[in-house]
Amino acid sequence: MTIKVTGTLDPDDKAALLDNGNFPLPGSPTYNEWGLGGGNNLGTIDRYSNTNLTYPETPGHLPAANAIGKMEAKAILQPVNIQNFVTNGAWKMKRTTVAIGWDNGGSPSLKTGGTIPPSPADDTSTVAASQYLNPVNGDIFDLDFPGVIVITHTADTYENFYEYTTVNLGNGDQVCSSTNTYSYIGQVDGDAGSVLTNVLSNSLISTLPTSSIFSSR
Amino acid sequence: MMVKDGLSSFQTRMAFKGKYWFTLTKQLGLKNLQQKAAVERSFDNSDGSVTGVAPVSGVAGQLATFSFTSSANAITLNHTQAFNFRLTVVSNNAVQINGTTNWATIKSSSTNDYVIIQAMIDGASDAILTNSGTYIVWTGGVASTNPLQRLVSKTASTNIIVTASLSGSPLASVSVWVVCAD
Repeated sequence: MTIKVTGTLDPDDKAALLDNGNFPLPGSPTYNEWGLGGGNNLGTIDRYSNTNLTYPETPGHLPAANAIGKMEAKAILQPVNIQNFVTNGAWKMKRTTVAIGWDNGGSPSLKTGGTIPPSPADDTSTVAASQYLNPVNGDIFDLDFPGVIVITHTADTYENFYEYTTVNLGNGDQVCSSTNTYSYIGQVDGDAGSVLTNVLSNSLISTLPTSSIFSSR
Repeated sequence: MMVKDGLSSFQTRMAFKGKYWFTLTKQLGLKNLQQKAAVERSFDNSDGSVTGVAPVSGVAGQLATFSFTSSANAITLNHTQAFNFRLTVVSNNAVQINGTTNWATIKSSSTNDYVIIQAMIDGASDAILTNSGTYIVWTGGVASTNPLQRLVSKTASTNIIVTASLSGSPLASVSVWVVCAD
């Protein structure tokens, strides 16, 4: 399995949220709340330099992310032509995450496992529209857009991700790949309108912090 | 050959319990139908002796023909019998896919993890099974200590076609897929 955190989207990736092979712009016909900056570049963007970043803004709910990283995971099914026998619906891409974050410093407002340091949990942010699991060309895809959203003054978030593939040969989903990793760190001072850190990486965060870089305001 | 009760010799080809044809060479004859039936039962129950198993032919379409000799109750019969031959997969983590001769399993990191392909000779006695295995020629996969079995390693993703042949003719094949996502 390959995890791309830079470069461009794979042309085989037909995830439903993509608009002709590009990330959706605000007002995209199907995913109009998924303004992911447009274009086909992976990697980090922030809304201060790209006004087309409105994800995941929904009226009455969360504001737009201040910064995100766009990742694409690709799994090539082996051996060649297995997709002719183990077909669409049998293959899945899943991930777990270990994450912690803060809004306006203070107590963590985002964490997995309910403990500090956080423990692993299934990543519930995966939606069907961000995946293309039809192996018609022998490969399947999963997109992710971890980010940071300032609700009050400041926000910082730290997330480790573990991505893997499963196949159901008739006995339920079984892991059929190695686990590959990526991580995201976002640190934004909303008052100042500045992004301190916006990093998407294939490397894991070696030690997740237990306190915010920001003091409560 | 074999029976020595003094009757004249003859050969006849006849249906044997409706399952196969055999050639009966009777140099000295059977005394009566009851005695012949006893031999048949002995053969069927594998409580007689079966020797001289040798391949006669293999037919694409999964028929394997063997000649052999069975003896019981001081009577010996020479047989030429066609058996239905097929391959199946007996390892517990491989599953048949699409209802065909394709079997799939997930790649394993264990070096001693194999898909086991089993030759099935329907209706054959244990003695015939034991002896016939030595005549099966396998292609694809690796050898097993059991000549009626063939192994496909699960340590690498692959598609291996395993074929069993007899007397130079392919009898049956299965396609084994060891799958993973890279």
